[in-house]
Amino acid sequence: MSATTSAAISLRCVGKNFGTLKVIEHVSFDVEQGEIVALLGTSGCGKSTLLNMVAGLLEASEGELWIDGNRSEGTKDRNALSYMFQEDRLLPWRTARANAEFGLEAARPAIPARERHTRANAVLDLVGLQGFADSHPHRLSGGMRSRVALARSLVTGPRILLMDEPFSKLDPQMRSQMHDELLRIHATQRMTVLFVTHDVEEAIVLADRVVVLAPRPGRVREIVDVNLPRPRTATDPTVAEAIRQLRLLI
Amino acid sequence: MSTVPRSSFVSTVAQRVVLVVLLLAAWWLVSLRMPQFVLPGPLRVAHAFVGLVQSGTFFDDLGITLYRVVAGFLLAAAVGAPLGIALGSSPRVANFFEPLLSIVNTVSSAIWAVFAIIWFGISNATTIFVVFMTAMPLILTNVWQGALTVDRNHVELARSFRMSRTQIMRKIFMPTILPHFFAGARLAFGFGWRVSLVAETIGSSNGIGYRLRQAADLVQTDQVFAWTVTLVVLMLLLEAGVLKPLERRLFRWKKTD
Repeated sequence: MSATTSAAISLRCVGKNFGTLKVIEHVSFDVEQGEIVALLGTSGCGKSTLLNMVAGLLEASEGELWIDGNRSEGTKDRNALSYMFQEDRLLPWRTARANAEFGLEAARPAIPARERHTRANAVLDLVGLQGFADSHPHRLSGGMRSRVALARSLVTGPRILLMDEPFSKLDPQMRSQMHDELLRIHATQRMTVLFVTHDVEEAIVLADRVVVLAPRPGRVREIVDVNLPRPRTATDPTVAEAIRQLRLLI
Repeated sequence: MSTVPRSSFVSTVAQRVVLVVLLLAAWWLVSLRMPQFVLPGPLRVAHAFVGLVQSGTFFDDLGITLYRVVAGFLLAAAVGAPLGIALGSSPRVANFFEPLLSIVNTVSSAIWAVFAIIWFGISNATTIFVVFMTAMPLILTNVWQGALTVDRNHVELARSFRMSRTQIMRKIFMPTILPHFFAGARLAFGFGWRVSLVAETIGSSNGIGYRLRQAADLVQTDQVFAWTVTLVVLMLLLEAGVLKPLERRLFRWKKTD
């Protein structure tokens, strides 16, 4: 690796085939430490596949993937990483707290129950769910469930947070609330965020940089820097203009 | 937080009491016109019950029958649940063995009892075997169906946290299957309890089933009735006092409460 501080995530000529079908071809980009990067594209451009490869849920067919300056292969060495799915995927038989604790239960050596408990409580406070720790998911609203899912991803204290269209199932108002929440948490935790979206507005509001993908096979069309002051509101003229410009690229 | 409103609880109790009184009255009226050996009245059955309790073997018989049912049931759970999980997690194995399950299900408990006598003679094993053969397929089928409802998304979630296969089994499969297992176990216990008596009438020298047949042979109809009432009350107590509260406590996370 180079002498400078290494990128949090680095993809070099990554490709993926499903059988004879080429889904992703020669994708290269870096995500710097503490940066928020959006993977933007229409459906079918392989953005979720890319994210799953970074997460170690899928194996790349070609190219190299580096995480924190280390070449990573297979599903090993992914402890710095947390994954947030499109659906909240809460376990209905667990309370909000127990769902948040789920993220800690695979750790080795095992974390004592008491510590899991305190850490889950702390992270539920962080996402604004104090007072709902003992509620089961069916008693929570969509937004609250999404917060529990976020808490479960953050409880391990990840340095890298991967998100696959995490707020796409929420109504617009709830979604922008979750955007604020995510940015607030990012400001305190400074973790690296790589997220997939097909929503141009979401990409502009959240990301420092946007990787625009072209479909069939998925490849990088352009990488756009978003140099706008935060907080960004979609109705603000400069933000609206950035959204318009980006939309023209897709 | 899901307590039933007080008025509806009182009304339910009142309805149950009225029903019991009506049944007793009807029984009493009909028994007035019948010979004692065909239909003894409630009072006479109550006397027979007191006689049974004082006979000395009452609690032994109750205990040995309960032991056989519980032993058969536990064996059925220990065998049926893992097999159900195995079938649920492998469609190919399930496809192959499915006809076997149908065959086992079509064989009547009475036939198992006959086989049990041939194989085990007059012993505890006879009744335990019959209970096992009746309860095991029920538990297996329910657990199997339960394993099919495991959400792939939840498994993927566990994998994203790098959980081992054992952890996925314990944290995702088990909780998903538990309600199905419980439903199957309840059914199996009820069936097992009933067939145990059939098995005992022909394959044992003690237990409730044996006493029932003995009483019938001696035309002590009041004793037959006393045993029957005892069994019904026992099962109702078990249902209302143990199974229902347990189920409510285990599955309070379900939407339907």
